[in-house]
Amino acid sequence: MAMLKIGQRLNTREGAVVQVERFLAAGGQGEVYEVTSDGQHFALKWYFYPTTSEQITQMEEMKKAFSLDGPFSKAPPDNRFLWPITMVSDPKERTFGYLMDLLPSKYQGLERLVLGKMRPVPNFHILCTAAIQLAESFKNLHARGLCYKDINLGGPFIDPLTGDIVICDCDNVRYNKTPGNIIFIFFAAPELIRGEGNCTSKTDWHSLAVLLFYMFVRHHPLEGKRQLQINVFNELAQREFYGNKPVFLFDGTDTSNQAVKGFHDSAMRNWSIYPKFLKRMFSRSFGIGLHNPDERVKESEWMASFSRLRDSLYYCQYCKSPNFYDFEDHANGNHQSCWRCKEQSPLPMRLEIGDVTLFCTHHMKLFAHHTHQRLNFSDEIARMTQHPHKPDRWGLKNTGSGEWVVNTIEGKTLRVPTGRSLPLKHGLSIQFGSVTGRLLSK
Amino acid sequence: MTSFSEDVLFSNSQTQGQNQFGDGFSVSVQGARHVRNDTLCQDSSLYLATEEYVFCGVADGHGDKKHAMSHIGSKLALKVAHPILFDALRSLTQPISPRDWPTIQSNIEKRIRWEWNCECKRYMGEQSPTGEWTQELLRFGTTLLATCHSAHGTLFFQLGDGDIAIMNDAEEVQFIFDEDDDVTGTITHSLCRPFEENVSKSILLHLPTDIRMILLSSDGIRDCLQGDRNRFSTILPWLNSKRDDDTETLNKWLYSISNNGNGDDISLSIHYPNTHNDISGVLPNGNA
Repeated sequence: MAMLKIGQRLNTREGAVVQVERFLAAGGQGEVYEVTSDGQHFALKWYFYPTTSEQITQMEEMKKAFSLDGPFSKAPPDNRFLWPITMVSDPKERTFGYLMDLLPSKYQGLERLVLGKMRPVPNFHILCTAAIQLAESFKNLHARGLCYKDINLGGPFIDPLTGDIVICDCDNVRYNKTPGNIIFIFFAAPELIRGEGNCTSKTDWHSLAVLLFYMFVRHHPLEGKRQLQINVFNELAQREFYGNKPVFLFDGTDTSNQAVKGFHDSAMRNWSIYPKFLKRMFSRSFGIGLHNPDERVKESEWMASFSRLRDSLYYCQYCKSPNFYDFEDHANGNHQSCWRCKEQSPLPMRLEIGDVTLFCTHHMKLFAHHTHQRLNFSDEIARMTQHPHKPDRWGLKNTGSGEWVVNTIEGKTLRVPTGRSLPLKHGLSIQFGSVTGRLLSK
Repeated sequence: MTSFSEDVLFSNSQTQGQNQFGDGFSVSVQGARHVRNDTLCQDSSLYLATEEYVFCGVADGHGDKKHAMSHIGSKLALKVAHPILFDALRSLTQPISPRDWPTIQSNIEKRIRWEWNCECKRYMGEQSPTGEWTQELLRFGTTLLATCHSAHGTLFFQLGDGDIAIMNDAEEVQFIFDEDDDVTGTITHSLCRPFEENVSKSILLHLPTDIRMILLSSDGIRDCLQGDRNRFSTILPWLNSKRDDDTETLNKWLYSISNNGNGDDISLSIHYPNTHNDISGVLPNGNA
């Protein structure tokens, strides 16, 4: 039975009236309602009445987080967090709730993605965008000395058409090392499972790596052969496998928990399509990073990695499947075959800017990150665009603020102002401010 | 205690037993078509009553040329399933959150597959096999329906076609699992294929004390009854009424169903819970 009645009126801590409009959902900690206040619609999370001493302690801690020096007294560290706005009081003082913005319906939970139920199915370009945004959001949270504590598939939501994200369930956010750990065993850092220390941004780093692994490999990184050899995968076993003796599914040296044919086929197939640089990031996260929190992959590294992954995306000309090109193999003289049809597809034109390489596919975008300001994915410099009358011809459109200076192989100089496009041609040298890019088809 | 020898346990005939949880039996009958064609019964069944639990299971070997060893596969499925289900049941003494259940459920299937793969490979002569899937395992293809009943509750498991039903004092029949909507026609989920998430179904229940009968049936019965699941509402009461009859009567009835139907092998496993040994309240745990 719902805890609040439709039409019921409550007050925020500041005295504003909140009216309950409809029940939205129930979770492990409480219920969520749509409410109105001063003509605006919000979501209200209303906690269950605490019944055990542990729950009472948790509730006191939660209230403290809403106090003037708590994390929710300030504006959100990033607008992608569905941040608690204010507390809502219970007239009988048995519990309380908090207001937050409503989650727009276009966003879908990551659980749906991992279960293969997200529709429309987001493509790799969008997944990379979502991964960059996730890492950036947590980077901004951590920069404020906060930690999310409970990163798991239930918190982040993505727009499958754009890759934009929203992170919900922010009420567990605390300052680093605040006592009172939350341990969702599949995502918790091993040291937390072992009962060593409190939640920090470094324990979040582990959970973020698990989340990203789930997004791209669709499997738990520590769930391999060992689990197949015990009858009961209960909490004791989970503590052993995720806390005391964690071993990565694709560990290069320790094969005790390796992926097994017939059981982990999807994970093996998915893992195989990624370039080596990304595999190294995950191997670090679930190798040395399991035992040494300082060695875990940081958000900025994930941002750069998923940008690089997005830039290496191309489509097989034979079967149209998305592929990621491994430029390390290219440098070694190996030409990659399509993971699906095994053909060696011709590659699209590429843009090289210093050590960055981007394929000029239809959804390619160039950001300040690629030219002059690392990790800036807000300021767009260029994007691929179709010729208005000849849709099979593509060009690079200047969407930034500065004019490009372009030199051809023949020695001519062209100028491409903002809003104009440059037809793709091998050998063009493009001056993006202080850096130079080259278009190459060979 | 169960009255079977190792020999009988793994033959395609009948096992029966009794302990503090009740009594019951399992039977596999060679289908009329298989008798006419002189082909082996591909089904296996097992009723096992130990000091700690009761296990009932039926396994339907696929039986076609591609699955030529399925009569062995079905026996091995039952052999590996009962210790795994019992261990799982024994460990499920703490309340399980809905969040944890899918993991436990998925692991039960993985464990059964792993051990079944190992057993099939042993049968093929491998000395120390691992459970890694190989193409040869396809020859052993089988379904598996099983239940393990102990003081901790009743754990049901189903992979592939078949029915698991319970009947109460009022002779009301209920099915434990809904029918598959993702498998149609002649295709069934099978132990012989690589693991896919969410293929098997399992549930831990604390059965009401008025449950008189638990029945597991391979798809043989239903296929011979034109696929009509509703017929179980009369079959279970009828079987219950024949509880004290000799086994020959049941075997004849099953054979006649097969003969009048599509001629498939038929397997049944029936447990009659002991009503004097009320286990209610032991396990406040039901995960639908």
